[in-house]
Amino acid sequence: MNRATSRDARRHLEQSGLPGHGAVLGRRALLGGALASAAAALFAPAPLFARARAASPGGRKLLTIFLRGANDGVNTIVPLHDAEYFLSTTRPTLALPPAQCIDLGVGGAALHPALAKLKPLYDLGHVACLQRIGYPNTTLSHFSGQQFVETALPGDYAFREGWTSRWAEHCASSTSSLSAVSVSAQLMLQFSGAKVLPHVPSLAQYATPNDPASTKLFGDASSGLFSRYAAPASGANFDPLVHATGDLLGASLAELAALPPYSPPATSFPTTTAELSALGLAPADWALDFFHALRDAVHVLKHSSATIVGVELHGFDTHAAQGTLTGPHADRLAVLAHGLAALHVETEFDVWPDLVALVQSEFGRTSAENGSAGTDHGRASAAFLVGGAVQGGVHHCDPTSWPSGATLFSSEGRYVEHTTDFRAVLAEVLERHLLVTPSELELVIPGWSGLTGPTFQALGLIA
Amino acid sequence: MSPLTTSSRPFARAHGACLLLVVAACGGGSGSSTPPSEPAGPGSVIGVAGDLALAGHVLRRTTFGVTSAALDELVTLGTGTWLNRQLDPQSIPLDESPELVQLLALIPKPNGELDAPTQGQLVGYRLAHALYSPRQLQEQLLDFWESHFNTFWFQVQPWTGSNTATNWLEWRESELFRAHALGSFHQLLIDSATSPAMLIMLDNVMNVAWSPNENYARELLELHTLGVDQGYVQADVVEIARCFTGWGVCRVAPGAEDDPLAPCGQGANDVLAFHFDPAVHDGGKKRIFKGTKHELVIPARSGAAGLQDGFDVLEHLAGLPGTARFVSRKLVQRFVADHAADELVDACVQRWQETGGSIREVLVVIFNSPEFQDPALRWNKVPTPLESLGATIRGFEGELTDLGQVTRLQAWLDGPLNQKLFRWDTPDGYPEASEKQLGTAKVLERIRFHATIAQGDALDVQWDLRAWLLARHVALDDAAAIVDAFVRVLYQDALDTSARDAAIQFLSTDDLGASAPLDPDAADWDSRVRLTAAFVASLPEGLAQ
Repeated sequence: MNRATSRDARRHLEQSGLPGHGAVLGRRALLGGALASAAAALFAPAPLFARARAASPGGRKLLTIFLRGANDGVNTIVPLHDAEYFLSTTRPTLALPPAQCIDLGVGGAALHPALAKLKPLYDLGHVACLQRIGYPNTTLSHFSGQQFVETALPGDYAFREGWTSRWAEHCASSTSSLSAVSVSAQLMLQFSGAKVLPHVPSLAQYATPNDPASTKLFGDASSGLFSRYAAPASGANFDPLVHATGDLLGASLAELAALPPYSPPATSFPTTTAELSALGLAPADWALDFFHALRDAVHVLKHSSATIVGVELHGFDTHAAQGTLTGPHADRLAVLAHGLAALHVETEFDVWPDLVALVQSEFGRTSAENGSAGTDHGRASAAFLVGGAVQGGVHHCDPTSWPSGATLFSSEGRYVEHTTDFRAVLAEVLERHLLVTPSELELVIPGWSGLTGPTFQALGLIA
Repeated sequence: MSPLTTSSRPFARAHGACLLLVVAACGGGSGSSTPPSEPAGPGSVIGVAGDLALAGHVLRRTTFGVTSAALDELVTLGTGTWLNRQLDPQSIPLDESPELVQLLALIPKPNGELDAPTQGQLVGYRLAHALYSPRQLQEQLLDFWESHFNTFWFQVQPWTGSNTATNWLEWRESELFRAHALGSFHQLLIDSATSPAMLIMLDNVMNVAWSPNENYARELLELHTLGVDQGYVQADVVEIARCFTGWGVCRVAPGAEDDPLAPCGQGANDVLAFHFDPAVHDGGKKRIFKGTKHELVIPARSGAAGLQDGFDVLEHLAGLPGTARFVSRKLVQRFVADHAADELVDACVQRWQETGGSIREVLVVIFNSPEFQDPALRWNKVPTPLESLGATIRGFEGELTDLGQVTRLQAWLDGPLNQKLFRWDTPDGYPEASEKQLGTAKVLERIRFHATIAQGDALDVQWDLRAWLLARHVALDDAAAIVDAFVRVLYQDALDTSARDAAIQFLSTDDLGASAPLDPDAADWDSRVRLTAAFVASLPEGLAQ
């Protein structure tokens, strides 16, 4: 990573006021990874024991699903008990018909009808429905908002290092090149940073065998390009990152090419628009892209030692004609729900018990609709945790925690104010599920120990 | 707008001082006699001759790939002569490039929406210019503005309901950006704001008085002018959205495209154009940046007069110091370094203010800056995929002679290399930051691209390396000389010895991996040399620019 980023990271950890952090990150600017484990051991005597508990075959897994474009949380986990939702001044065309929403049995919260396929998993206790997830002083910029969620450092525009990269640097115990994988068209910021992680837009494309000429060109440790990428980096500019990336490319190609084949049925992950239509899903390229990525992610989760895999679903920026029972928003929620149900079907007998899928977006949308039958950028949104390792339930959307008439417009008279910080959700997943120790957590979520108060309380999300 | 306090410019940035500094550095390094200085004057770049490293740097930053001819020209005539010509693109005849002329003969200019411009025309026209236009700086700036004011084909198409109409809107917008690429920022802002593609992309077509849609207003502030969360608040977004109510798109009679008040029609020959609808415009008074020194009050206006609101906003935003700073910083990031030096940005802002936002003049400041000349700020950026493939296509004088080849190149950018032209989905455009050009998949696919070209399928870009080497008087059996010719054009000789040695060894190895001398008459000469060209282009050093 470039110097500025390391400096920013160091500054943040120094500002956290915790002893030793300057030293931990100071070495990052100066040295390679050799001291990392020693430093971690200094500050974290516990993880060896903690991680031993996670030695089940394949280990604990985390799938992250980023809903890009700011998901309308109000129409995702719907506060049916709140009369304000049904006022003609709130959502005259976008309010969902209560009878068709999927009641979650808590006296208020209901799922958007397009999320019907989540209900059986919810009934199993494997879905935590989280409302009003956000952070203070939310930016209304998509790009900054996504950056803040992916760095876990909201408010710092210059800091561009993903939390998963830091997790891999400080917490991953595996020597595999696949500790965490970004299965996305572009390398997600969440996965970029000083610790380089594989970026696999498509497994089939990435790991396709080379022709003889390319094989000669790529070479190995002693000849061809890979020998040049393995050569020492100059240390200048982006050279270290380039060499680390090239080196990791070779290792990840070898590991991914060795994965056993995986041929899930089209009912799980449709591969054509006809198959999408047959499942009642929108016959669109974005849906195919999502299922392609999800299939690859499940392949990696099932058959490699990868701990964290990330995918993304695009198109939630519904400024106009977002629809209710049908339309762009419903289409995307239906694809998401189908994907999560397929995840269960495909992993039920292997990784599901050890799996958490974290579904979140950069922020929510205005509580009232605009003149285009859409919604504009807002603040808090909904999130889901799904998987066998999840403690199911509903948070912040029942009549006691979502006061009727006092919640929809609780932020600046336009938005839903957050009740739980997204970093608290992430911290709980990291600590309780991936068994990250408190001192490691401080490295993954900068300044975490200094974040106190009700919005940072754990919710009890992990079984 | 309140003018910035005028302060004297830093001495080190004065043209004369810059020239002295550069000449001293260059004379000492080359050991040759003092290079001929070029005439200094307002608004021109002072260059240096005889400096291969600087010549390479200038070409890497301002073109889509170094060619031997351009390198020789910059070394001989100096960097200033070349840059000053590039800063005045209209002075460069397009037919200086026979490759461009040949390719454009296959990709005719669309004449209008009804002339059915195809996807191949839209993207091919742009690729042809990026790879072969003699106005390379203009193409670099076009690429910059296309990202700065990005519109996403797939977001425009559902509204127009027509592929060809969408291609036409994108093509027309691109032509305006190209024509004004080095002109006034205010004009570019107007080009974008009144572009039907942008009006559709950011939902301004649905922005109506009784419930404004904020999408365009927000991105106008965040992405096009001031930068995210810089000097504006949500209330400003709301007020600006009100100003743009009624700005939309409709079909008008051919010839009326430039009249936003022309009546909308349904005629078979009517074409999509920017249209203002007073009936849905909020005619009330607006106050933007209320209570700040940049407050703009727009009076209540009724009927067609309301059209002026949006233009007033654009003019105001174009003149704000924050806009000068945000856009200057992006230009410095593009041409100098990801982490732009504040001093240089300050100098750009000052020149921007002096010239009313002339992009050409800001570029002159950048090209004359100590930072642009600083050897420590070379090879410090990672090229985009388009720049990477441009470097190898231009460097080895690769040819595209039919549309199938253009389509195949486009498929590389759309797919594996993932720099979709006109189809980048987010309004912030294709990212410039170096770390965004890296990642295992990007490195992998760049190598594969070179490997594919090296294998010489007729459907790919054609390299004739034998002719290329002969034109440079390189002995075809001399592995070291061949590698050195590759290294000169791709790295301007700045390649580590061990990498050069590895390339020579690679070339001295036959297809089965055995060491074997290079024989120009042997069947494998071509494949070995071509694969070595791919090797040299794919080295880790090739990911620095």
